[in-house]
Amino acid sequence: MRFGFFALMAICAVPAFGQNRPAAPVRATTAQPYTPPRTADGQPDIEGTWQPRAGGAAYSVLPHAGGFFLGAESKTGIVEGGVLPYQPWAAEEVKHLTEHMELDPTGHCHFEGIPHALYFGFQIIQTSKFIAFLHDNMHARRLVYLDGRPHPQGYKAWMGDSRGHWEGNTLVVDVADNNDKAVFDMAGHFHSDALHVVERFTIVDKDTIDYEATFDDPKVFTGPFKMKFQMKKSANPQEPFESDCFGGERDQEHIVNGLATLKDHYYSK
Amino acid sequence: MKSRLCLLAICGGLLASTPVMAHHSFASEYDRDRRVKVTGTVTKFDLSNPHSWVYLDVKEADGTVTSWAFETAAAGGLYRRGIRKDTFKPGMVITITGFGAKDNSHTADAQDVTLPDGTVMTLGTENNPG
Amino acid sequence: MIKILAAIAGVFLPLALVAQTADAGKVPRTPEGKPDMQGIWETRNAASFDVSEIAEGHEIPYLPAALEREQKGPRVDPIIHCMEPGVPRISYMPFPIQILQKNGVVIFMYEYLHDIRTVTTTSRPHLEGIDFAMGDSVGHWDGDTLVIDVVDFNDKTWLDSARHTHSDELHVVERYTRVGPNTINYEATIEDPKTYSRPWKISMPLHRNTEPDFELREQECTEGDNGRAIHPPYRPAPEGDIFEFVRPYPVK
Repeated sequence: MRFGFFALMAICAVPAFGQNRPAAPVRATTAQPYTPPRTADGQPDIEGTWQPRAGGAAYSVLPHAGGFFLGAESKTGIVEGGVLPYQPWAAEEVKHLTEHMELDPTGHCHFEGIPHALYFGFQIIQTSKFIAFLHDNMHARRLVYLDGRPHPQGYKAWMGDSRGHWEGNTLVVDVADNNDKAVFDMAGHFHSDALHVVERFTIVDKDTIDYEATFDDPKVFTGPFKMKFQMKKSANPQEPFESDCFGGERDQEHIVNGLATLKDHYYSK
Repeated sequence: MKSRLCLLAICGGLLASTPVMAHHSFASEYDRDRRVKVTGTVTKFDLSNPHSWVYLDVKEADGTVTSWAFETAAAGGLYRRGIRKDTFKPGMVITITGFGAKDNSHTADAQDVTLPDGTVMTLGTENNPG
Repeated sequence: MIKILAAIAGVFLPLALVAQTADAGKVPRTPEGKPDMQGIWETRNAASFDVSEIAEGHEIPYLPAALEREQKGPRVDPIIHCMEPGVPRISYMPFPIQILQKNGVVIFMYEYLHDIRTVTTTSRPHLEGIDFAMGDSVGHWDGDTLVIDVVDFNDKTWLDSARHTHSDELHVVERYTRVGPNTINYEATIEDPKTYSRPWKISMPLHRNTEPDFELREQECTEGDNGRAIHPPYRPAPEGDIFEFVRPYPVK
């Protein structure tokens, strides 16, 4: 009976995800009547376990149909304007990657990068020196240093390197030193190592962050673009489970054309 | 233990259960038009990450045995639904539905399992895109 | 006036220096009243190659059957396949560890494999019916010592690259005690009735990294890097594989 009850709960959960969640905030961003509580050292308190409403962005950041394998439908996607301004050669590469999802690095247990890591639940812990983002997926993390130190030189990382400061109720994070391997989603939307991101996490009420990020990558895109979605605080945060990936990865051997393409794509670089 | 930590699916309610997974390329591994329903005897169950696996042996009409592997949600996801490493015991006869692999191996992405007492449980990830 | 100030400084400055250099009787505490062990720490030993280096008596009390099992088992260190190092190996991998204490939880952020251990200090019961490569860690404070009890291991990790293995009945109790401003004393008791004839202990200091503005960097496991041969776990390494480890026996 216990199992049956849980099965019922799980089945009830599924239609909830089939719903079309708003992918962009539906509110103006002028006057901020909400004043968040402050931490001991005076920062707006942004701690908590946050659940993004990213509208199936893990499959694609652009508008897409929903369904099995594709996640929640999204009529708008999370990219402002619904279009990624790829240069013509890059648009062709996207088409190639969409047909070769075995090349998706998250399928190989790699870091999701920014903003991809934010499409799934994460925890924020705040100190006076840095703000830590801890993700279940891939046990990923990044530390956003607040003390004004510069980005390291000659460094590339899947999750980039983050430096932040507060502007009122908005945490502004500058993400540099991105590598060219992390991807925005599984639908082939890639970027180069020239990617630079400025994220804005605005606390709009006690349970809600408005996330808006501006992306700049002159090697691949014709101009900057933005992505936006909301994040909601979990009422009942659960202790994270181990989320090892490499240890039990068994899918790649079954992916059609997978191994041959992998060799060319990864080993020849 | 359970009330303190809210480890079960019931505690967080529906809103809290954003899927925790992005490992995968489901679309390139499994065929959503190739639905399978297999009844067999459990040989092994790995409650593991990034996905758990249930292995079944099926006795065919001609007496041969086919071995199937079913991929499910990650260990944490199944645990929160009440599944433990001994939930599917070797020798147990169960029925699993799912989506077959494109490479025609006897591998499938599991959806639901029916236990010997008739209970149905969800094995798939809460929200596929896997 | 200057003489007075100099006299005052002469009194207070040495006191300030003493406070910084000696912990005896006055351990800095977090707002929650616990010893403050936050910061970046490093091991400076070769335990990740052979854990017996930091074991009491430099020996591991194997059961003969376990030694035989080990000798017949896999020969390639699982971390070559990007698998988790397990506990206690994660604590002595030669990569920095950053500790954060907040909200009743101690968070260990490891540079190695960007691992994270979130350890509750409110002593909940262990999970049942599930195994993890890193086990299930439950902590509590024993006076000024952080004690972490770890069970629910699978049998897939090695304690070091010298192929010291264990079974799924491994039980590890780690103890972290701050003994100076730049030193934590780390001890672990290791027991496994299917592998060892008795519990045994390892101990080592963790040294604070005092470089200004030092940060953990990303350490991502990339298969196929630099043409290195990688054997996925489902394909056993062939004989003579370059990553096959051969350790001279008997063990001591």
